[in-house]
Amino acid sequence: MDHFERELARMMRDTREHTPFEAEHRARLRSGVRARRRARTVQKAAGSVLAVAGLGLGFFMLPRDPGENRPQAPLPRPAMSPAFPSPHPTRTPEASPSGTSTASPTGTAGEPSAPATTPTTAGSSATVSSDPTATATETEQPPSGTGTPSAPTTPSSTPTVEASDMTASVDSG
Amino acid sequence: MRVEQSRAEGFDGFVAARWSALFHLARLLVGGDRHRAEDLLQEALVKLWFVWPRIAEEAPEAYVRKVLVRAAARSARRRWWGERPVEQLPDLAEAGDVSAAVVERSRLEAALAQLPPRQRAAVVLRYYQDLSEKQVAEVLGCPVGTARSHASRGVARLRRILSDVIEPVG
Repeated sequence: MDHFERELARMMRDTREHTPFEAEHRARLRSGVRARRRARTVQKAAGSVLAVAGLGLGFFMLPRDPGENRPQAPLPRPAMSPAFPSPHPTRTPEASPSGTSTASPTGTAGEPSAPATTPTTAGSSATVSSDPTATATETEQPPSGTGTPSAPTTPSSTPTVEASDMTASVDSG
Repeated sequence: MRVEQSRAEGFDGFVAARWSALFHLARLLVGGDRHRAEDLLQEALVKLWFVWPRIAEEAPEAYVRKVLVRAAARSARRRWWGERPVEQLPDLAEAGDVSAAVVERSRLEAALAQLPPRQRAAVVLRYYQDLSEKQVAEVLGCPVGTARSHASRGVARLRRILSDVIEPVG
């Protein structure tokens, strides 16, 4: 700290004049505190009103019938799934009814017409016979839950094309 | 009710004891404007009232100092100070009041008023409040290097302005 800085500090200290805290200062301070308290109260009240209004608006905007929000259609599924072969072989119209497997993976358990739709072509027999659900008995329920008649999206109804079917069609053609 | 009364008593005691020093600090921070200094001090003390139960036992003066410095910098950015034209001028200082101390104070305040607010705050905190550079930086809310730069530039400018008042040694 050089001479100028010392003189500057001295000037700042020495020029201080005594200013008493008078009654008018006190009154002004009290009024300032009251005004600020009122402002804070108003701010809190306004915030609460806004919060309540926002909640009310949010509840008002909610749908009355929760069923309306239910999905009307199932989610679209991929048309092809080459990575994961479907456990339910699709019905092929050229399939011979003389199949060895008697359980239809897509039909209901008690459906007697299920064996007639089992694909047993020579080219695609490997896929069908390797499927554990395809060799199951008639009473065994398929894992896809196709026994529920209300479900519109059984795998059999989806237009899936499997590699084995394509092979079969190539072989047959 | 008793808690509120003891709070008011403690607060009033602190304000009465430190009013003069805080007012001088506020006056230096605004470059000598007495009314602005009083407004700033009132604003800072109102804020202090609402946090008084928390910091009464710690460092209420440091809190007021920080509020004052930041409010002074903020109010310096405003263009209008709430001045209104009046028909009659307020009482001016009489010739008999002019003493060496008053002249020196006027020169100092006029010189401080020429500094930018943050330089002025850094100089006042450093040389009037005897704060370290780290404390000045904390009050100003800036890095230590920035506070040091503000203080050195402010002092350099004051050195030029007050060169005829403070004679260089040697």
